[in-house]
Amino acid sequence: MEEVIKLDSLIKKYDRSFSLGPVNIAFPKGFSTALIGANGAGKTTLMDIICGITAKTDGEISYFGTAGDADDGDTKERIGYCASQGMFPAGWKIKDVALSMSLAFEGFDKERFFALLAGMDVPADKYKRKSLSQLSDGMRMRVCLASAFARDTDLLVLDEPGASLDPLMRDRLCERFRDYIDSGNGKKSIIFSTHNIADMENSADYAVIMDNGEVTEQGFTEDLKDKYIIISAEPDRKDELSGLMLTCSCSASMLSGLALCENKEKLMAHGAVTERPTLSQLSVELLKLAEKRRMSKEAQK
Amino acid sequence: MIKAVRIFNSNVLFKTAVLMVVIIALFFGTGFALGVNAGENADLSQQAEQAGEEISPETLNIIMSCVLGYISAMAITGSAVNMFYKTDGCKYARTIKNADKLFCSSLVGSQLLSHLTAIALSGVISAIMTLFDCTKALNIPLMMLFSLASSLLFDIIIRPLLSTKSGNARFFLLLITLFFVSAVVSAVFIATQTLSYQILLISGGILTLATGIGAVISTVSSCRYIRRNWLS
Repeated sequence: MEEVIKLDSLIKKYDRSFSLGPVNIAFPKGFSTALIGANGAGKTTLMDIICGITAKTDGEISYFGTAGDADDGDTKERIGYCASQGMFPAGWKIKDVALSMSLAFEGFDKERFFALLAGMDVPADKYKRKSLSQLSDGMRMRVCLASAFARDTDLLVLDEPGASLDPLMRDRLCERFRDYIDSGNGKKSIIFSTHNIADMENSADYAVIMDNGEVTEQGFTEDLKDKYIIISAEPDRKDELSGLMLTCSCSASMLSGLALCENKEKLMAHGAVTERPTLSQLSVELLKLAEKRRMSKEAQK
Repeated sequence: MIKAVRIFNSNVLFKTAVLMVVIIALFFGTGFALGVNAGENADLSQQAEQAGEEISPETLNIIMSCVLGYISAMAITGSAVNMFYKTDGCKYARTIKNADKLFCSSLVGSQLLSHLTAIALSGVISAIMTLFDCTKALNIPLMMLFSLASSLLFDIIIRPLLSTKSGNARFFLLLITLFFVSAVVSAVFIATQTLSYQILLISGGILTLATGIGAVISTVSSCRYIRRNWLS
């Protein structure tokens, strides 16, 4: 597998309250990767380090197959970025964004930017007198996304692009993801973080699950779906099944959780019903598993 | 450098510079035209001598140049410093290659623009005054020199302005420099009344040199601060 970005023992230390890593991830080239994790898991920090916004403490990053810094060569020119908030100065208007982007990045196409905005229901003429701070969160995100898609890049790094968008626009964003990946003939890639996993499930070819600054699981979405199964059973089967399950939630009417697919037959023999997980289900269960392991580790300490 | 200024400040600073020069030109041009038409200030120097007034028009011109020089620096370089706070908090700037160097280049560009505006403002005033025979051409270099010195004076505080996080503290810093400017203006006022033209020219040169050195030190320190801050 050829990787677009490879993180090797990447560490970022802020203070005693939070540190990221060591993180080892190989983001596949020509695919869309979803970063999934709870708030404060380190997704934004990771993306900021990749884009050269935040400095790393230790470790190595390879960009497009070459180890180095984000400021080396044309790396920053090849990476488009969109932050969930605070991307541009609040007082800027859309035309200021267009002017600044066109001056800062060679591959920025002003006409394409305005066309993309019009396609996202943000006609520049209508909003020309308004500063970004006067726009709604959703509108601001559309401006930010248009500024990223209007550039000629090989990698897009998008921090929660769907967070403030309405369902229709989120669906269109997923289509745009596909178009972007397809237009690159295997050379263009996307890394995005999301909490709306169900809505953006079809856009995630590869998934990285993060918890408390560490990567707990990663792989192609279809492989992960083959690796794990979702279990449901009668609550009275808890004692027999819990040993085979990774996570287990038990209510008065139902027992459910996550297990490894290799234990499928044993689980079914004990009367459990199994199903192939969706990415959304898988993410929730894997986050529960990470939390469980973290808490038991802390308890041991 | 112009590109760097435009990346972070759009065209706002250039528009501000042009607007300041145009407004001053219109203000003084109209004022003097009306005054001459009314026959009130045909020859201010002569009138001042005849009336035995202590403040000569030359003194007023130089003081005016000092004030306008400082205002141009405050409006243009001040906006550039303000932009640092805005871009420091937004991620867009850091996605640009060598953003720290580019921002320093933008800051220096803004400073140069403010100095050029200061010189242009005093040039416009002196040109209008010469046109209406209100001042001697000899005073033009003096006005430009003191205007430049005043705008350079503002640059000395950009380093503390950049690292001062609180708005109140920044306001206090600006107040302190305003006191300094008042002191300079008072000194200029006394000097123009008592010193000869040559000594005034030399003292203007010394003042420009001293503020220039201060401005360079402050700018270099600011660039180091920006680099350190953005690479953290």
